Amino acid sequence: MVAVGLRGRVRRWFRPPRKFRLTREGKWFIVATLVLGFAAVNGGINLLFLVFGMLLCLLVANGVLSEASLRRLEVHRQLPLAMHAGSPFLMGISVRNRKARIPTFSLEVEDLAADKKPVDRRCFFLKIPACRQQETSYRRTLSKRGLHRLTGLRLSTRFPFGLLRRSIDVEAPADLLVYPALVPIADLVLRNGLAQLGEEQSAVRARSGDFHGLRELRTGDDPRDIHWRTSARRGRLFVREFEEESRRTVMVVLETRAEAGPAFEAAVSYAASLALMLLRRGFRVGLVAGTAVVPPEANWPQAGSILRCLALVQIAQADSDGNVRPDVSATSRSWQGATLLTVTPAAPDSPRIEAGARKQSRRSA
Amino acid sequence: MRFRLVHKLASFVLAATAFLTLATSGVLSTVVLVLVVLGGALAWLADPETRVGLLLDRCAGWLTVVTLLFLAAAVFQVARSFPEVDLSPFLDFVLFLLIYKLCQRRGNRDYLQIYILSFLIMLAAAWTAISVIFVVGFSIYVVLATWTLILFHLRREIEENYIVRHASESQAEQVTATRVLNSRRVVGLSFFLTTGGVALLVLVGSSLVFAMVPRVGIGFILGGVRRQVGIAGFSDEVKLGMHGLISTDNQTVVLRAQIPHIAAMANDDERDRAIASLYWRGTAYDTYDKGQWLRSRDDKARTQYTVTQSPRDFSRIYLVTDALDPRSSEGRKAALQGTLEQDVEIVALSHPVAFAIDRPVAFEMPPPPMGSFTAVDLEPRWSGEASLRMFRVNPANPYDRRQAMTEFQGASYKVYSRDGKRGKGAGFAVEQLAPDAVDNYLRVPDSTAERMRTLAQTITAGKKSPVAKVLAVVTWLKQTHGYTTDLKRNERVADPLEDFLFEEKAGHCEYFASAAAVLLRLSGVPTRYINGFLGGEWNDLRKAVTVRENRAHSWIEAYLGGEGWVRVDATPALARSSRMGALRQLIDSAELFWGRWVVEYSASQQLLLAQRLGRKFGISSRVYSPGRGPTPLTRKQVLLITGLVMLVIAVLSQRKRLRRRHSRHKQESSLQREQPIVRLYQSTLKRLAAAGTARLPSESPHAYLLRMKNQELDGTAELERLTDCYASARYGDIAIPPETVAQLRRQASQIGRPA
Repeated sequence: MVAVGLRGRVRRWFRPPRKFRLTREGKWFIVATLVLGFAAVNGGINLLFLVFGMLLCLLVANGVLSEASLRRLEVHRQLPLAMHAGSPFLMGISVRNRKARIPTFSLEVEDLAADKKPVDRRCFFLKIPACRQQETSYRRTLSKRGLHRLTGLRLSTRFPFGLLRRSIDVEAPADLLVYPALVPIADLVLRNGLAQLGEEQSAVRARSGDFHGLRELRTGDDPRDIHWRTSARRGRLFVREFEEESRRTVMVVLETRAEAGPAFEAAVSYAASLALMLLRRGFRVGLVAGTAVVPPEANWPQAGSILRCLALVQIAQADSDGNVRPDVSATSRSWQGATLLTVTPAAPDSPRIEAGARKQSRRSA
Repeated sequence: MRFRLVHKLASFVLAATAFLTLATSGVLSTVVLVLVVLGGALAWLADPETRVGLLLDRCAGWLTVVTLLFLAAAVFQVARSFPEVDLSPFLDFVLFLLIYKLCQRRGNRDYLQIYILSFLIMLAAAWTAISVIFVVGFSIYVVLATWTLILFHLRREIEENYIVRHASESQAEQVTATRVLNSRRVVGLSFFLTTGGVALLVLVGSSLVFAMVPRVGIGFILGGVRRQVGIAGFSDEVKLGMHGLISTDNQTVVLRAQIPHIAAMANDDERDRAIASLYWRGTAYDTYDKGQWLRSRDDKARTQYTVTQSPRDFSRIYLVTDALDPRSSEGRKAALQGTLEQDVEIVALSHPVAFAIDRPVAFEMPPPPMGSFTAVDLEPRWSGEASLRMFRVNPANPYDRRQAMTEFQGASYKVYSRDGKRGKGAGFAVEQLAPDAVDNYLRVPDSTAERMRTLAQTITAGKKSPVAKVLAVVTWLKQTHGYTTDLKRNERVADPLEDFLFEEKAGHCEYFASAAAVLLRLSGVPTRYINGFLGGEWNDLRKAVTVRENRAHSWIEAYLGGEGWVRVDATPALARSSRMGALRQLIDSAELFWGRWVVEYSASQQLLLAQRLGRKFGISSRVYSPGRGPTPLTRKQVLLITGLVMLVIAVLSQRKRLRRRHSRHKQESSLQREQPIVRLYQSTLKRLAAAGTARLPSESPHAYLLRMKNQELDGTAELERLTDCYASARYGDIAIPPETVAQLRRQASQIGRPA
């Protein structure tokens, strides 16, 4: 371990913090400089040495000015709120120039992926005046859900003459959690006879049915349902819950005992899309995906919880004995009157959605 | 100013600077100059959307044909000039191409080609430059090139990033690039000041490279193909009437001389008078025939030397003797006493004559400079005249001067002269000399008109001594003839001298000198005709006398028996100022510096410069001296230098370590701000990494967990719980209760432990 650490340190010592690479014009420039130097030495023409010196010094000036341009820059990433696989998102980049007097010209900023290679998009800043900040963004699409690691940012410039590209890698690790792709759900829902879930939606929760119980106030609840006495006693607002509403609790169950592949990914996408659709329609939605459980809620942050869970869900893994650990079964929990929608990977484009109502009495465990 | 306009202006000025720098070298004809200027003016108006631009676009095909024809013509002319290759047609083609591209600039590639062409023109200027003005042009070019290249780079970045990156179908994106190009905020005064400062540093760097790159190439070894600074035309024969045509207005510098005796004069008027009476003796002629002065090339008239060579530094001293001067060697050595010492630098001459103040007694030729591959030596000619000759140095034998070269590129030497007007020579009386010794100096053409013989007798009637005859002739000429350079010639008179004496009665120094020489010969006084320069201009900055071509003058030397050869100037005196204005002094000094330290810069000057710098910084007072090797550094100096180097290395290494510590501290601070579960996870990873099971940068936490399970790491269940909690906290914004964290912390110690 000690040897590895020392080797790493030595390697870091010799690896320069700045990288530079000659551009095509830079290569021609160097060739021209060498030819001119050769001609000056062998032609015995002193004035050509002046011109040769000019070319050499321009090359040096290129290096010095590009270094000055890259100094004292603060760069930050502004991650988008949500990223879905297959959908473009805008990654914000902001750069602050901390130099007192010197602006930075012609700066390119690229994200570095996990393998320290730049992604295929970059941001360009023509000029960042001294002591100023500028922001821009690039559009990118990630095809796979899950965790994508960014290790840093690469700042590079070809300023001032475009003879060489100087770059510096800044450590800025970030993990992009890419949610599953969203797909249209309505037709499938209809096909599987779940239309009643959609048709009975209304903007305001229905107050029909028997009194079911009390619960905390959620967004969209009718203020007339507030149970003031309980609210006063508890110090929080509680509303009456009616039986009709309890039918609006849905648990989306994703079957993870499957093979990894397009079918599973499609099932994940459908589970996500279904959950979001139901949330938008006012349902209380929860999720069961393998060992992960997201209790049902009806607020919009619930979407984030469900999507995060689905972003990271993997197929069920076999243990050392070859047994696949069973998922948390929807049947082992009591979701009060929740409808179970099980999404099973089938054909890649059409996972199977099965509805199973699970009604229980209020006092069941 | 708008960015687009600034870029255009900088590009045009850059091209103009290169062109004007080339124009100062004198290689371009007036027609080419005018055409290029007109073409440049047209190109300025030929922007893409203007009427002129559109017209040129329509004619693009024809212009291409014209370009190809021009190229073909240039190739043909160059080929025709073989074997003496003349590349000026190519130069004209490059200028044409530059104007063409300036008119047809539509995109970045056109601008790049314009810059390349302007650079080629600057190269041509470097090749052909003859004066210090090149440095001015070059300096401006460096500054402009820095600005222009930066602006070009920015323009290219704007067009690449604001057009290409976005979909071309969007007009809005192209408008963005246009808007940026028309912006006034991209570059401003501070930009130009800062980059101008960088450009000046580039200029200084160029000078350092120029000074330090060793001059050891083939070109220097072979004597180089260096362009001469400016050749003063000095003819090897004299035809009456040519002097006025050639050199009256010519300001070309012929030589510069430092004369300690004159530099020591405090009084300006006294110095002016002294300079005005300096006769720079050059060529001597002994035969006159039909308006021409020639040399008989008689061995008896050949200049003779006694050569002394210094074994220490291989310098040579040539003691000049004369066939008619019978002094002993002791007498000749004694002649050096009381002479006027001059340090002469011949700039460049078409005929390399060793000029010296009349009458040179000895020439001291310096040794070949260390590191130089060529040197100059003296070669005797006739009638006391000497010429200069370049030869290639033989490193094995410094005394070997046989490898003569045809080129002559100036020379520096010392001369010791005595006053040529006062003989002080122990000459013989004419009657005592053998006839064949003086024949050349008494001979007149048989075709000399009878009236000239009569005139000579009339003028010198009753005069017995040669001195009296000389005075009579000179007085008569000055009284009866006037000075003019506006010569009129009666073609009916065959001999121009006869025309001068009897018809026109006005002329310049050649006529007066020729008339005096011939009349004195007809009176029995041996004479010879001398060409040289009279006077000069004092440069107070360099404490030297500068002699230009317009100071050319002719006089004669008359043999006065016991006095020997004495200078006689029959031309009426002309008042000419010996003073140089301040600006002219500055330019003259700059030209001298230019010639010595730039155009003729060689390995010897590099060594000399190193020696001076070493002396200045006290490294050693004798790093180099002729005949000795370099002196090694003292122990103290070695220790000092070593200590300095080690200190620099130590400071640099500490700087790196401090920077690393600071970045680590920053990383740790940001970690501490994160949740405890995150810290616990990170520390567990560190521990596992130390054990050789590090998480790869490309692995997500769950992928890493899976890999650990596959590797049957102990404590994977604990690791799984830890990973789940970490992922929930990090990505799910779920707060993990402290008791859970504590429990996980306890369990984390089991992870990776052997069972």
